[in-house]
Amino acid sequence: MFSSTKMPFLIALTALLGFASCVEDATVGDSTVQAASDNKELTPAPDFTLKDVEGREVTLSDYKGKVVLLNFWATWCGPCKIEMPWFVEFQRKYKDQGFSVIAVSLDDEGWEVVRPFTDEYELNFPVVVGTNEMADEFGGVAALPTTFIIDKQGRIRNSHMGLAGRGEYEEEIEGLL
Amino acid sequence: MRDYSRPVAAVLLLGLASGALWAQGFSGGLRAASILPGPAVKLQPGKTAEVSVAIQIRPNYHINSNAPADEYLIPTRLTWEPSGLDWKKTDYPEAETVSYSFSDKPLSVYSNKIVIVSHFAVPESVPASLKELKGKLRYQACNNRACLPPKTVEVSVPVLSR
Repeated sequence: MFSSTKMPFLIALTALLGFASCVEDATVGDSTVQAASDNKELTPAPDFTLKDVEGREVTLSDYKGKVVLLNFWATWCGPCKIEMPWFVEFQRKYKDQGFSVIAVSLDDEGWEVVRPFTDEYELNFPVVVGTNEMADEFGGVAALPTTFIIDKQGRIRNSHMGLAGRGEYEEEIEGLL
Repeated sequence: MRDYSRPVAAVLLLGLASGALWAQGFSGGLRAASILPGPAVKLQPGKTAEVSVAIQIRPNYHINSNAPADEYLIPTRLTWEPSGLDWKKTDYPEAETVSYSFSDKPLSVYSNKIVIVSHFAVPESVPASLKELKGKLRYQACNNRACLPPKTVEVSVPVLSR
């Protein structure tokens, strides 16, 4: 059934695609994993409900109708700290236009370390503590920061693994508002 | 005409396996440091023994030193399971102080190859059954733009007790 003169090419292509999905030196922190330009093949963001620092439930699907910047981070992640002040500014700038940041910490120690960080950085958006299972739902978060830009219909429009550019985020957010 | 059924199936399996690697949870994924195998350590009753653990860190990555400059950072730490030897102390290598674009202040890190040395007092009666020292190395690695989750890996050093 696979007999064809084109088979060697197909084999090579399949191998390339398979290996390209692995995490390698060159790609960790350098890649925009997904950038969808049309509405045909967009992935719905997996829903979750987690508690914020005050114990209130944060449910992603409640944010339908808003553009969401969903950021996976941890207190021990240096590059994540660069982005946090940007996100504070985005929340301030775009909140009234139907936008929210949601930050998901993957710190093993949970609120014990996350609470002081949120105070120190004066985070003005929902912060929750995530789980490995939840990270799995998002395709496995291999490195931090990992950020998803979710449109008003709850679909993942862009994802970034590693430190991205502030202007890049702004362009994506403004394009969806 | 050649039949490519077998190679195609093999490649598909390989692709699926690599996809599964990508999809594993936050605790899985790329390992940024490897413990290099070393020679067996000879234990002399009543003496001290130095146990060296060599670690190779992937190019372009660093791991935090044992005393990182920021309270939020996870230090590199080597611990040992009870073995009958008396673990006295561990000497960590001198750290590099490196400035990164993502940090306001220089960080204390290790890169390339490092060696951590633990010192044990060997009792007069070393159990003959003692063949290895088991420990755990905890570290957390980053490159210039992203960080990998903290890892705890098993360490095993063979010993010669007789």
